[in-house]
Amino acid sequence: MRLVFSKNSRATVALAGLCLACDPGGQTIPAPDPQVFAAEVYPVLLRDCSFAACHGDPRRPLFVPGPGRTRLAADSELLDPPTEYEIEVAYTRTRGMLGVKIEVDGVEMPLLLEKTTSGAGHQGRDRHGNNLYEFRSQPGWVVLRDWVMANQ
Amino acid sequence: MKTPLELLAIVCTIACPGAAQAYGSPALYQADPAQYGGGGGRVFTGSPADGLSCDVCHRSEVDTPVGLELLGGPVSGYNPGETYAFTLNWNDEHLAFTAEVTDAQGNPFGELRAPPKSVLLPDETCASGTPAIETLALERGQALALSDCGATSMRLQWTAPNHLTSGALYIGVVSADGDGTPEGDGAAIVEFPLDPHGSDQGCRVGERQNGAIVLVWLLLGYGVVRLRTRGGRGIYA
Repeated sequence: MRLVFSKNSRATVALAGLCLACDPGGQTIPAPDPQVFAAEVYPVLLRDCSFAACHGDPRRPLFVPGPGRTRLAADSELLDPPTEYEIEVAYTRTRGMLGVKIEVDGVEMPLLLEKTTSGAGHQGRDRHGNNLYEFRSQPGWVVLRDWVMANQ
Repeated sequence: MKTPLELLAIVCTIACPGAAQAYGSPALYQADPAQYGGGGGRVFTGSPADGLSCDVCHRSEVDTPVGLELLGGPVSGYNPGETYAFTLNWNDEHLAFTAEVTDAQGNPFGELRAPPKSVLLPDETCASGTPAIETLALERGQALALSDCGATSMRLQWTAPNHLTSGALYIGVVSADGDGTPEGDGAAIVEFPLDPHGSDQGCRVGERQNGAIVLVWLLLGYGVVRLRTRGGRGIYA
């Protein structure tokens, strides 16, 4: 059978296909506590992730601007305290890493937690072959995990 | 819900952020990242303890030479408890480095020290006369950080541990272009293996030559230089 679509119906089908492709299936992206993020998670991300060659690059899905790193406001001095907007951007971008879950040893884990650990694909591996948090006992990973899990 | 104008502002701001810049003071390596823009304890030596090095921020579209000469070190491996001297020389106008010694697991390995202020030579001080190098006390041990402040040479001392294992001196180096941003800067890592005397690990180059200068490392461009050396021994104080 050959299906023939009019110009309008082709557009409709294409739009429907696009919507289906993007349909998260009713999934809601978790929204862990922004206050805890600002106080505990944001400093960890700045320390471990937000370098210019890494997640200080605004083109990366996870982008963490702030003091000593990439600044968003042109009038911010390098070491000025973070602006509310920078923290908000960092929160939004970080929260975006919670929507995708990866199964690790039978347990679903958000990309934010999975990608930084041993065995995961992450360009942030150091020259010794270690991922950022090669061991899940590392304090930085524990901070991220506790923040994410408190919302479960 | 943000208005279209607000969304446009967000997109524009994210797409066109202000310039990122580098650390200007060794104290920043330990400063709170969120309040002061510091490293929060990261010193970027490239050692197994830190992993990352200066090139996570400082980089260039084209290879930028980093000129650093490293002299000295243990002769044919170290003897437990002995102290060895290194000398670093450079001509770059804006060179800075961090250094630490660890074993393969990132544990402190012996003790690395900078000269005390009282014995610093003129070319080991900033243009202002203050010491160019600082010792950073980290949770895991200590590291040294040299400022970009006018010094052109530095001596370091390393006292070997009392046990026979292997480690390395790691130095993360930046040769900046002086524009205050990490773009256009050269970055490199020096890894100087420190194996016990008589170890057959790695490869050795030649024999000791009168116990004096023994090694010249000239780093050109990005990357890691890992060389075995012949070494001279000495202490400065």
